[in-house]
Amino acid sequence: MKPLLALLRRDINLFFRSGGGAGQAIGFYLVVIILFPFGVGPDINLLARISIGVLWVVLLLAILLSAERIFSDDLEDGSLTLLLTAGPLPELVILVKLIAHWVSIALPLLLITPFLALMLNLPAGGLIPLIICMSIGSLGLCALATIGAAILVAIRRANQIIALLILPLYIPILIFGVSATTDMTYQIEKPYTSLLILLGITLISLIIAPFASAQALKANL
Amino acid sequence: MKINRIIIQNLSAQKGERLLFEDIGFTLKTGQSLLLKGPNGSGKTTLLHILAGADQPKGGDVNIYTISSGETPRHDGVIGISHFITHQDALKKSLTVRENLTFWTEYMGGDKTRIDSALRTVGLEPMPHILAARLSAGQKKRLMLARLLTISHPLWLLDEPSVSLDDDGQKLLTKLMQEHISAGGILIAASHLPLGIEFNHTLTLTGGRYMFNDDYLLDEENI
Repeated sequence: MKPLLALLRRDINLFFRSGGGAGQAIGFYLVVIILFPFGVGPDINLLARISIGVLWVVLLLAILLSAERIFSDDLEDGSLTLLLTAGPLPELVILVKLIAHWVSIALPLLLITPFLALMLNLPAGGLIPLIICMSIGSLGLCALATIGAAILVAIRRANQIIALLILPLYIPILIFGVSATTDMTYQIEKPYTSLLILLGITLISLIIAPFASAQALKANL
Repeated sequence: MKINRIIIQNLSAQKGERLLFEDIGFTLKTGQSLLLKGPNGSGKTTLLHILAGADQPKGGDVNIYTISSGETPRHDGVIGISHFITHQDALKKSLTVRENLTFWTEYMGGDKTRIDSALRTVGLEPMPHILAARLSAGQKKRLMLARLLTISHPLWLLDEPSVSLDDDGQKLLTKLMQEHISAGGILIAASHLPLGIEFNHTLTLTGGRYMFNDDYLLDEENI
């Protein structure tokens, strides 16, 4: 347990210290959401209608764009070899790196979401469902990003290829994430069906990701 | 964890289509050392990678027997008992000297109370709070060597450990290796430069063939 906690601390520390990590994702999220209302025009009702979808898509892209960083730095300086051979089980190591990635990329995005939701005129009562669904969904997104990053770890600047590889896997999370948020916001009958499916997809991704990534990394080292 | 012996059997490796070596087998017991020699690209680093568990062999086995495991080899091989020093420093530029060492010490199950004395031994005591990005190549190497001191692992796998070290640094390395062997550790090193210690055995790899300097390691009686 102690080695894993040390790794979690180090990874989060590195993300915030070396810049480019959380900063880049937050910057992207911020800029796109701020620009959106200018592009769409001053129709408040239209903005409210598309706000949930827009926030989800931009969150997804922000996580996708930072996927490469999960393993690339550690591969470059040789840390990855040691991390996978000199410590706990590789699957656990990857799970910790995944969680560290979520804390340093997704969590800051979730924290600024309330302010950005204002800009997009998110419907009243939509904020709490949005944050709940995004918290769950982003964990699934990070898990899938980890698999992509592991498979393509040997390729430099692989962000675009990772995007192409895991984009199809992101679609179910996007569909059920948006529909769960919408259902809960407008309080339709049985509002939690999509949420449960979203939760299911996220849990499956979280379980598969460490094993798949460990195999991919073993083949790539 | 006390290691009893390490037995390598029929080990083969290839890079792409090219066979690096085939059917290497030897046994090293506690307190023994092996020097790997051979021209560039002959497979020294690959052999060390395989021993460290970072690379898969084409065939063959690496079995580690610890004192406590008796006659059955450890099921998880070298994981958690070996140090692997390569040309890659595994140091994070945005962490300080001390933070880098502390992380690896915690991660590899070492002794945190030894960090200060380890930094003193390798000569980095005056700069624990300097970012690793500001270190010279030799200082980075010294920081890597500090890992050997804070974490006591019985098997050392060193790949060109003396590269970029100054005279003092090389003397330090020699001293560390001597202490390790006399404390009952096992040492396998690949180096072109003299490392200052007498290795028990030498394994020379050349284009698919290999050769020991003596028959000791191959003799079943000695296993």
